[in-house]
Amino acid sequence: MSARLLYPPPIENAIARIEPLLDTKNRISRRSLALLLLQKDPILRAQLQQEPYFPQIERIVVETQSCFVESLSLAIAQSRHQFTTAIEQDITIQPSKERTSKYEWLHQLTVNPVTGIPILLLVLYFGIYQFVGVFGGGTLVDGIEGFFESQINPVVNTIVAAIFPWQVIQDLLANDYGIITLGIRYAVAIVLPIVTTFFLMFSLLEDSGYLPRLSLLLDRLFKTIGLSGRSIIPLILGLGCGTMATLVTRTLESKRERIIATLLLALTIPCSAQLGVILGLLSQEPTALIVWASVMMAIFLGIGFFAGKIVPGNTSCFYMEIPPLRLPSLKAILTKTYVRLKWYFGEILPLFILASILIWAGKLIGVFDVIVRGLEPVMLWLGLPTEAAPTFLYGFFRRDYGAAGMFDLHSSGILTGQQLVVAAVTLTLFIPCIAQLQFMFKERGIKTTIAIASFVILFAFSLGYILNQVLTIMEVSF
Amino acid sequence: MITQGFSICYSPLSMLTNKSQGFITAIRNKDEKIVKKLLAMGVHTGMQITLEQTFPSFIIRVGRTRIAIDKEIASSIKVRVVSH
Repeated sequence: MSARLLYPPPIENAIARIEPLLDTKNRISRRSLALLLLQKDPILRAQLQQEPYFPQIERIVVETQSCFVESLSLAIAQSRHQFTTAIEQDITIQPSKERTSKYEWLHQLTVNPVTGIPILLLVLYFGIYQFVGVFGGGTLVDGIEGFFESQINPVVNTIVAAIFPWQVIQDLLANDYGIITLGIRYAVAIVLPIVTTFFLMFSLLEDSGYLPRLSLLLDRLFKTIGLSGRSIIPLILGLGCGTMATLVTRTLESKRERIIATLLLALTIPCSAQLGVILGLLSQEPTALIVWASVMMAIFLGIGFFAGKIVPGNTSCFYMEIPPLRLPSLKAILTKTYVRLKWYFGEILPLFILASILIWAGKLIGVFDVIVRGLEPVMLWLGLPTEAAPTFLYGFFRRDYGAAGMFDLHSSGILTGQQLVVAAVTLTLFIPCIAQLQFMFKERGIKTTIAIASFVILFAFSLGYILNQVLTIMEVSF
Repeated sequence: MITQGFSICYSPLSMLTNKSQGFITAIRNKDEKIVKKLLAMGVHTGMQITLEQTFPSFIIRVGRTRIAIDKEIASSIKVRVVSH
């Protein structure tokens, strides 16, 4: 078989005419470059834009295109495909009967909406809620956090107090907001177990081939909120960690889809740390939990719907290859989880330490007191006690810290019933943590980040106000 | 002569019923990027295609590949139907 792939004559002619025009010093063969130009490769075109011979190439491309009904890329791809198919048929033997995958029946169950939707709900309930939320965020966090509080923190406090006689330095390293006692403790005791369980589950779903099936089931629903089925992956990741999810939005197809997903992540999706505390707090009052969940769901769909109308650009298309379902290998899952954790801590740990330093500096120079006093009228406006103000401020440094502060207020009896729901909704909507904000800035640029952040702050407090009024008028009691 | 019970028609994939089988006669979309993606996933004119599901998304099988696509992309694949 001839090793050379020949294209239809008009294309071969065009190649022959373009080749002599091109520089010989390029390391890529001129034939390949000519083919790329015929396919209107944007990168190569940008490189050659300034060359004197570029207009002539343009003319050749246009002339060649006029010989075909379909686009030149299509014609070229077609020739290549025919060529490879011929090779394939030459060297392979077709089994007389197509062998179907062992898990074909499972595939049918997962993609048929009648059985697929219940399976989807079960996967989310057991995989995310039970395993990550209850086991990782509850059992493991309580254990490690308790160990830190009772064993490590007192020791650190004593040692730091013994070495540094100055209260200021002591507070930087230890005590309530120190780098070791708050920053490292958060990273190891709260974030590590939650993120580990989440990444384990995510790698399992990924390797089994389930995620594309999840996407195809939800594509139609997501189209109504300006997204495509593809976006379910960052949004689910957002239930683990909004920061990581913001990074993953770069896998989405269009700029429009990336902006909408970033906004929804910043506004409506609670991260696992926050979710854990809020669920724990509200589950004592089932009505409160239902109100919180329905309000969040309504906002997710509503804001998505309007964002889909407002953000410019076309509705994104959805296409995804569906790999066969497979039993994942344990080793692959563990390796993936390990690599992700390593990346995560490399990125996140410095930010935790930075947050500790900022809280320390803010308290030291009194900026925090000013901000807290500024927030107090806002709290009254939401029908919340003024004691809730610091919770909102610290919530910016760590989302879960805000929710944890709410927990303290509730157990000391300051925050009750209706206030609890209003505070939970407002805090969930409220600005993402400092790390997520930084990644929004990295991924979306300063203008979009400022626009999203100002919208989120304004929306969170306005909605808190409205919710408080509505609950008061409707006399809902918790 | 065309025998009864056997019909030939050209139709966008989005109009076909579940489990239809046929051959791809053309791929046309105003967005060149989508055509390229389909080609990259191995969807070419002349290939045999099976429509496995139409709701909530379209699932097609081309060669040994299974692909989920939305209605918009499905309508850009034209098919000569061989059997329903």
